[in-house]
Amino acid sequence: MITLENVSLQRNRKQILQPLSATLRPGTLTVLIGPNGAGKSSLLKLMAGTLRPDSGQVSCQGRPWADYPVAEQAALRAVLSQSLPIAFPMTVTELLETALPRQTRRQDARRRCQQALEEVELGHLASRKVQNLSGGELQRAHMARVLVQLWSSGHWPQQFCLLDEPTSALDLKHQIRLMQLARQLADEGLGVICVLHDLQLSANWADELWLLQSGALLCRGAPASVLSPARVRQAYGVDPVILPHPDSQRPMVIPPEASVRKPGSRGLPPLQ
Amino acid sequence: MEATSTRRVIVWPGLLTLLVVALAMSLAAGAYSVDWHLLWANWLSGAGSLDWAVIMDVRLPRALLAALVGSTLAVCGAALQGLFRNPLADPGLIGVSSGAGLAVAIGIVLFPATTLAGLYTLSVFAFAGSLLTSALVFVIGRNGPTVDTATLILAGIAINALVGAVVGVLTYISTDEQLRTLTFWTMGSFGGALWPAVGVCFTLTLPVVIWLIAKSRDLNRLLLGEEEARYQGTDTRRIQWQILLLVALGVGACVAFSGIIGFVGLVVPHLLRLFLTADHRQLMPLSAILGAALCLVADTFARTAVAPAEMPVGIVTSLIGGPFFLWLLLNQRWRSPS
Repeated sequence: MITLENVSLQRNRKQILQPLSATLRPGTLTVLIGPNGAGKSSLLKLMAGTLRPDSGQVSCQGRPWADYPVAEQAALRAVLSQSLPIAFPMTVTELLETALPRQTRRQDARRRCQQALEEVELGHLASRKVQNLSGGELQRAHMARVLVQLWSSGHWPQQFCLLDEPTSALDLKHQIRLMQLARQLADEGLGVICVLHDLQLSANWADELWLLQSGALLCRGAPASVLSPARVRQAYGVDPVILPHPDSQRPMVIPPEASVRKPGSRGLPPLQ
Repeated sequence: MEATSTRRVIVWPGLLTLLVVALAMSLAAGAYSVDWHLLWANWLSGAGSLDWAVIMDVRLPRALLAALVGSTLAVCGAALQGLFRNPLADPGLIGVSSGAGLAVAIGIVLFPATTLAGLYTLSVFAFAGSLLTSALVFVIGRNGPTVDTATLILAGIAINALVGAVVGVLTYISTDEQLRTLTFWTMGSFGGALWPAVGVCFTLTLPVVIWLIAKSRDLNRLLLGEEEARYQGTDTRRIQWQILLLVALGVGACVAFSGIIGFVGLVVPHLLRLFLTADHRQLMPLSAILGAALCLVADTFARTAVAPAEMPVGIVTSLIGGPFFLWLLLNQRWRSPS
């Protein structure tokens, strides 16, 4: 497991994260939610071991991240970052092959990359240049790269998968496909954490929700306990309608009606 | 898609053939016309001849030096461009070449009588200059544990400007003869190639080229960004320093033995990326081959175009490389307007 003990983070004398403690457990799909600037990505980077906390300690399997060599860290966790422009033209397969360790046999490499592409439904684009992919396709290709890295490690499945807004560019079908993948990884025994903005998607898929606001962990727990109207109002400043799903009993989050104006508001100024 | 995979199949034999042809051309062509029948007959009978001497002691070491320098410059260029994720990165850009050039200028103008290393005096100067500038640029560009690319390139620009000014002053106070030597050096030439020089250059550059090619996988990861490379298990800090120092070593050795030869490190990797791939596992070894072939052709042209006189090869590479590069850029933009 990845353990955060009293971890805090400062940047330019601004407190990014208040001291917080939490544990990412194997076999669970945790979703990290919170408004813009709440510190979600920073928390993810702390858990990935790339940011060092200003106080406290982040450890993986009981050993501080800082004690692991870089290659060993890569064997224990894979990370999907937000928007990743690629400087030079390379094909989708070449992109995936960056995730392979040095001593991979060519046959294994090809098979593993193709399989990962099938998982994100990009099998037909294996030899396309990444520059010619759409935003959503590129995001899926990066997800396939993460899969290749996880599969290639000798630690499978004692691993962690950290995804920063993996669905931001995806259509509805592929959002669901991606969350299914995250679910599958968790079912295989990996600890999966995923930053999401879509509260409905979070409610549908998460085992555990962490709600972050202004660098503090407001609460964590099952979706039904975290997603209450009062908490959402506190964190986001909007009043949603939240109902239990008739079958799954998971919360359904309905945002306030967009067309309803507050009394007295004049709306947007007319265009000149 | 299909076009790219066809290109991939033919590119290795194609470029190797090009290299062999360029080498053969370089040995055959020149101001002195070699009588091949006589050469063959003499070789069979074991007798030495002028033709044999021209080939073995003049053209072969020169061709080998050209090939070595060409492949080193191209591989160093490709490595720097990958490291900085910037197709403009070039040993010239971060000030390594001009630092070496400045040291040579100082050697020629201020210490004309120094002969501490015999024939290699200027080479020693060049080498020291490239290492010193690299160290300086790295110290400035260093931001905590990592190398800050933008600062590094800006530092390179500042150092280039400074070096230009100092070389200007040196030009101003130099004698006519010193000025000639200086000009010759800054424009590059393989004319000084003797076997010992080729040997020294070989022992310095070959390990650099091999080592850089061996880092192709890490360079590929760096294309995704430093953070991603780290996520994938590459110790970015170490790789950055290693690549920078090895490029300094390689370029220093090149400038030391052949002066400043521009455009090879820029054009060769760019061409390959444009027509083939940015995958360093292909790009790096192919750059070595194409760089060697390009320098061989440029040198053959420099020796024969105005025979029996000789043009500096740096002028040839810039004359061919400059317009060609512009054409490529414009052509690319016209074809894909985005």
